[in-house]
Amino acid sequence: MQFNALRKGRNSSALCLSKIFFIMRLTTFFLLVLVLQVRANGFGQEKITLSFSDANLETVLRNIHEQSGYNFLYSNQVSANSRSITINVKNVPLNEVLKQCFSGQPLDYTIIDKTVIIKYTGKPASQLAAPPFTVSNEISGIVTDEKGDPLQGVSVLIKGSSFGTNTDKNGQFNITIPDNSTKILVFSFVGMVTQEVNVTNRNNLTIHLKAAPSGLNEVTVIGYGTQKKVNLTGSVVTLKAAQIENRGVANISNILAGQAPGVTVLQRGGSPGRDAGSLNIQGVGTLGNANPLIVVDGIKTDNFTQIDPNDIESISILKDAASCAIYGIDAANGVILITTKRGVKGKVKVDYNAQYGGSAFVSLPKKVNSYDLANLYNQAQTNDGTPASGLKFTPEDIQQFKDGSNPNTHPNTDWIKAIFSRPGTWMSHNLSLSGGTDDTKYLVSLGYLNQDGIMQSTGYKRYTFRVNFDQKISNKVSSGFNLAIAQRDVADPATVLGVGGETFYLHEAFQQWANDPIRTDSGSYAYPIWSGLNTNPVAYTSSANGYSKNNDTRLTGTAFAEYKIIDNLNLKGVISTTRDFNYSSDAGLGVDLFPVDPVTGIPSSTPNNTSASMPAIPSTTSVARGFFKGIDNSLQLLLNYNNTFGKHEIKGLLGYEARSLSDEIADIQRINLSDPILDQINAADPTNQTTDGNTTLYKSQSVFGRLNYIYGDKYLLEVNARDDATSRFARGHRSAIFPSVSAGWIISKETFFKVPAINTLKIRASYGTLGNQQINDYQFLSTYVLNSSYIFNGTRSTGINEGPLANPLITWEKTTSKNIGLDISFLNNRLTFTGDYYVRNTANILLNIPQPAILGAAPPVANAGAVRNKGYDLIASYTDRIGQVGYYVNANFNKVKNQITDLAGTQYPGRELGDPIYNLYGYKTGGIFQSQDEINKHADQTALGGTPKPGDIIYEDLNGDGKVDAKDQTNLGSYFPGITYGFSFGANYKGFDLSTLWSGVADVAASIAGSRLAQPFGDFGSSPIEAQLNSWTPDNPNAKYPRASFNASYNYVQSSFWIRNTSYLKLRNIQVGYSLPVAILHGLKISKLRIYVSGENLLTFSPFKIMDPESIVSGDPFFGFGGTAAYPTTKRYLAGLSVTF
Amino acid sequence: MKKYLTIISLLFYPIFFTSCKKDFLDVAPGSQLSSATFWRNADDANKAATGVYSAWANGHAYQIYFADDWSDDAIPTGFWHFFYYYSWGIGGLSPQDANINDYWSALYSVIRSTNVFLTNVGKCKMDEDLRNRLIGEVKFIRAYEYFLLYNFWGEVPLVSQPLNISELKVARAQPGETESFILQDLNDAISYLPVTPPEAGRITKGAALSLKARLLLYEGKYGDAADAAKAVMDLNVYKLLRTPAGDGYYQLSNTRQGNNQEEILGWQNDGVNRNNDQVQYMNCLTNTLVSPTKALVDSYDGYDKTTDQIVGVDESTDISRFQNRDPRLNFTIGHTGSVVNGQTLNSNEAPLSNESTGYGVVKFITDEVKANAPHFTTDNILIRYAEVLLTYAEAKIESGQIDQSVLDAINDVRSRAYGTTVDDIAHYPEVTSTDQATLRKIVRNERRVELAFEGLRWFDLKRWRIAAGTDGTMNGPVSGAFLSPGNYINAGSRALSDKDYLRPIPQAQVDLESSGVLTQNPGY
Repeated sequence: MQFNALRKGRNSSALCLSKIFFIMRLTTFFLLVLVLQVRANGFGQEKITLSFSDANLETVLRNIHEQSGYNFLYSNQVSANSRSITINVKNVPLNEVLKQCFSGQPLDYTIIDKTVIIKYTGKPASQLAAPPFTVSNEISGIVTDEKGDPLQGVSVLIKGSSFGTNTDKNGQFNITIPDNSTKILVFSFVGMVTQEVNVTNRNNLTIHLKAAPSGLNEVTVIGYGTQKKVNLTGSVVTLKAAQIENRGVANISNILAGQAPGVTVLQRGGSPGRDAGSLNIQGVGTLGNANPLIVVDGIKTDNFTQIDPNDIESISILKDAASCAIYGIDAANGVILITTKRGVKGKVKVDYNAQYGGSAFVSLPKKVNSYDLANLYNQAQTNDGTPASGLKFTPEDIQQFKDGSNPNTHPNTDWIKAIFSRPGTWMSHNLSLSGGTDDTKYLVSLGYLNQDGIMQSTGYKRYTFRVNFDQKISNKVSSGFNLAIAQRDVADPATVLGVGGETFYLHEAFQQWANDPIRTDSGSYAYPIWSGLNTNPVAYTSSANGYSKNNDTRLTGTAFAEYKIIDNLNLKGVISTTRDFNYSSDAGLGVDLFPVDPVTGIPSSTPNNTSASMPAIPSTTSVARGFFKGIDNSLQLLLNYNNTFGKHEIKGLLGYEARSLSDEIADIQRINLSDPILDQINAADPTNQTTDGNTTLYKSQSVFGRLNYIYGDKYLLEVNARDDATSRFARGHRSAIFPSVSAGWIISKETFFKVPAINTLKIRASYGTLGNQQINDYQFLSTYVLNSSYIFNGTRSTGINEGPLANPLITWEKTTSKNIGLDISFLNNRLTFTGDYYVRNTANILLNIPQPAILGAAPPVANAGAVRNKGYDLIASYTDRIGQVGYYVNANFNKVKNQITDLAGTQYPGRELGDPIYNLYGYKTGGIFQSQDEINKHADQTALGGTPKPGDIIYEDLNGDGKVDAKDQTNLGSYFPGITYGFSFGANYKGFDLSTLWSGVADVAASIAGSRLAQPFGDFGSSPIEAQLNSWTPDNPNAKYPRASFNASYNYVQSSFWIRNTSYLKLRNIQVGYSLPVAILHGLKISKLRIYVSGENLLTFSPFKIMDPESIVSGDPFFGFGGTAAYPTTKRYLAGLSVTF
Repeated sequence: MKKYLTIISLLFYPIFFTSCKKDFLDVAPGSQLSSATFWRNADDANKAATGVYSAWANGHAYQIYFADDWSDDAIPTGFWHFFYYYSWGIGGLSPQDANINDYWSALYSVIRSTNVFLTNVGKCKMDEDLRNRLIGEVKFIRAYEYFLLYNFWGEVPLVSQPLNISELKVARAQPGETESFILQDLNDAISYLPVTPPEAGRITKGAALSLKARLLLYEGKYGDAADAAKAVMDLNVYKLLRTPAGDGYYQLSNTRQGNNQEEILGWQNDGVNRNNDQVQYMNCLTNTLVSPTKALVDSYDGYDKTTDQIVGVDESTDISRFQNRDPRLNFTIGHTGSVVNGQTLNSNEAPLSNESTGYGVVKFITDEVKANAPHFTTDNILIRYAEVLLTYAEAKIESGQIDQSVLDAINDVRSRAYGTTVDDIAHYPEVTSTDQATLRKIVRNERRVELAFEGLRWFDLKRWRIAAGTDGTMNGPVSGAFLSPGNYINAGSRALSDKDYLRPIPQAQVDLESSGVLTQNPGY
């Protein structure tokens, strides 16, 4: 062996080549030094991430240079005498990295102005006793990927030395091995498994590198711990900080839209501070409460609106039973785990992020102008039989609306513009300091968000403060705490005597007629002239009408300690408390509305204070205050075991958790302020004050365990169980055990697996049971409540009534979930794919099953009903580089079929077994009656509330009994999307980056029946929308709307006529950024600086054009606009800055 | 190893500690009383009775305010056409209507609270007289609710216990059963209740007798009806409200805490805990829910007070139509030329132009409305003495017992309307006829104008069977205010048929009680 090596080493051409190689190397380095020589004071705090094994010094230094901008100056003596380096660090300060790199080296280094000068100490390292180049063997070869395609730039190193080369564009390399060195070459390439090859007796090699499993060492946060991604057996999707930061979105749920497969986020409204979208994981799994469980830094909580997205390190979404079962209680609808950032070892690092921007509404219905409104009104009156002489608008009126000759009495007001055109300014700042030593690590973060509404008197401010602290006390004990304080202030228009507030004024805003002025010609607010309405939302939402504020303070403190009992056994205790203090304050002052003479346009000198909607504005002033206190305490004890015996790897967890949640509220209201400037309770009249208050308490207690077993890095098994008990059920019905099992097989690690195109292939399956108990407290207890009063002798007497009907038998709702998944990666892991197929059956659903009204009370909650969700999630991502342009494409897709499988006998036509939970039901329509003859031939429709006329909607008699009635209703679709998808793609070139995020839903419908979008002048006389001008008349038989009428309410019952396809695709976010070159930043003591412009919700593509399809829900047509989320959804334009010191 | 086990045990001590503490999960509701600790004493009984009052007054109050939309007296304006206040009034109510299901449910919800009280009050240790009085009050409320159910739907499921969910298949009562049930409750109430209320707002013997008279009149049991009405009259505690200014009829709307002797029963309001919403909703300045019809306007007598003669109406102008009429017309209906609180109304201008008929209700424009008060503290009068007098008169007329007491009863009501006394026959059109047919016509019209917008007109139309069919009062176009001679505002049209005398049983209830148990009314 030695002999052969010696012989080959005497080859002279090899010597020559290695000289050239050496000269090239040196030149490169001097050039580099020249180019990047800038003055700077290096503190060595730059964070470096390296992963090398047996790499040569040069490679490592080059990498450090790229990350930190530090230059390295050294002679060939240095490189000749350096040892190979094996290092694996993540986000470690430069100083530390250098220390590691140079430890055990015969080298010294000094840092001057961001330049590291390296000197050879002259003491030869033992491994390099002999000088190089004396004898060598020349080896050549080619390196390819699994498919045989040549790989360029593969590092080829002699093991144990710093000598090496790279492959050329044909994947070829030549290297000379000194006689006295090892005869092992190390081939490494990003994304590939490093290979060592013994080259003894070989001089021509063909090397196939295998793709490294993507994120091999990537760690995913799971319930009560972490797991290597590769070893996951459940269905978990993770979002990293980069996917969460820098969005012009206040709420985490809205950030999730489009980013995770199987997670459906529907943002119905854009009210500042209250615009969180609804969140569902793998569809809606129950007829009851289908919200996922939220866990922040290991602590269960009710919501995450208090968290600044900038503080988040990662979000894990647990989808299947195997992943969720460890949270048994409440985990039936999935779990969202949020982990906040923590300090890492190194000198202090300062991050600062700022954004500034503005907002506008996405899309609102176009209201008709005053001229069209007058004509349509007269048309409706005529249709209802009013003679020409009785029409509301005379030809002269109509002429004046048309020519605008009399703007005081016949204006054309754009109310939408008047109400929703504020700039909606957005400003956010986040400053964080982090760092630490081996023993102490800290992160302190400060956040501020100021979001103005696009409607006056609305806005949101959020202040956040967080300290995450870790302290190692001894080799056995470590501890830490998290402290978070969040203050959220939401402003609304005033509420007067409990009437008013944002949604109410919005309701008014959308009904206002273009024919009515906002102000009189003397500048005061005008009372409507034409509409018969008695409101003026511009006046009511002004600050003159008072204010309504909600201040929410949340304080979360968590302390934990870990004790290493023996090497593989660890005990952790966590105590946590979350305190909510909510304070609401209202002052209603009232605004005068002045009637305008419809002929002369002269405003009245006395206001008209008669308003059905706002009792007696402005003569009543009111002041109200409300207090809420919530305390959420929890305790956890976790015993972790972790060991490896040969090929067997075992992890175990045993845990205990207890939680107690209590709420208390108190409210007070008085009327008649002695002076509007004094807005305190004591300044108002106590005679008619009202007060209220109550409290609730909830507790739970659980023991749980988990066992992971891995054999040979290939076979994965996990078993979970959790025993939960809750105070929401009666004794004997309280506790239940939720077990799950899951298994995985990494096929690609099997020796028989020889598919070169596939780098990783894993299949996994899980099965388990989960619980749900999200109902109100005390529902198993018969109670009497003090919720009523009556007046005897003119004074209030308190009454007691029976509380909600109790059901002592209620117990857990159970979801059984089956999941099969596949993880696969191709093309050197550049293309990855994950697919999951699931079936979730929820039974014993806690439901208020409708009962006959002779019960006389709201039906009690019972375990009844069952639902099945079947579907699949797909996620694929591709990352690559073309020249200097790096790019990525990620896509995800979820399809879910939701079916009610049991309704405890309460099904009825239109809501049958097999229908989706959120189904729309109603009549099938056959267009519009064109003639009386058609009506006479059709089935009798009078059961729907009137005798049809030509121009009315035709309803189909589905059961063929000759009349159209409730029995002819059928399922018309679902307003929960069956398909949710998202994709993102981005690219970077030099300092520039571009990213886009798209999300969409399909297989979804909405009903506009009964709403203002259907009936002109419906809903208390609201203003029509432009589309309604296309109403049926004998001259317009192909109209999109039935004949205009004030009476024909039967045209507006829910039917397929009013069902709209509301699928959409939205450009959620687009960002263009530029990161300043490191060279420039050195002089500014900045390690990273990025500026960007960003847009949220800029584009929407949808067949539904009238308004933002995401914001429309089928709901109560009388209140709110097209549903209950009344505030228009917004888009946003931002400029941002992100800088790291 | 032993050391470690000890440490683990110690650290897990809280688990065992809390687990052993079995009551960790036994949380007591902090804001509610449990059924085990309620029904202890008189205080509990009183509070529970108050709870029943509250449920009764809040459960469906608005239904009473709007009820005249179902009659020929009014029609709601377009904005309200979504609701069954409209569809029933035009003959278009469907069993699927959600509002009608809500009303049905609201009535049974109040009935449950009465049943809970009546089933449990016996457990309280308390004075027997007080217990009986409270039982009387609650039985009256149960009777009141069944009275409404019976008159709107006919025979209904009779529930006299708080049911649980396994007991919910209850068929409609057999003919006569519902009436007997109501009468039984009323008779119990009559025997238990005092003549004068211990507190203003409490139900009295007079109220129970009056409701009994109303029920028997509606049932055509005229002899019994007259007896019950006479019993109210003989209590000698009620009389019509007369004022020196002669506007006693109008001043009824200012009644507060039963402070006039005409009110027999009324919901009480203090403006904050309970507001008089009737004033809000039945007030043309703020609302268009009830628009008076031309038919109602026409029903008021023309009377020339200078000649003391019934005269024709001058149809030549809008204003002349309202001159020389029964004063109740101008006290009740706002029209062109009406002066309300200094403001002269006009059918072509707001607020009247917002009404579908161009007329508005002014009957409930109270002093508080005029003073722009924030709250309305007046009583919602449910039963007043004028109705009892007219019930007495009608019952006697129908049973052929026409005597002076009949004429006195009608003339008492009529003379008050004209701001005078029964004896001052020169200043009001007194009734003198003793002809049954003539008197029947007079007393029916008297009820209409006297009780306009008090929610009783529909029941009269129903029992007289005069609404439905081509010659019924609720067929064809509905006219409103005067446009030009012979030309009136068209406010819609109606087509009631015989089926409309009863409401449909809500389809949801038919379905929920499972098919066949709850039969539908004919025609739906």
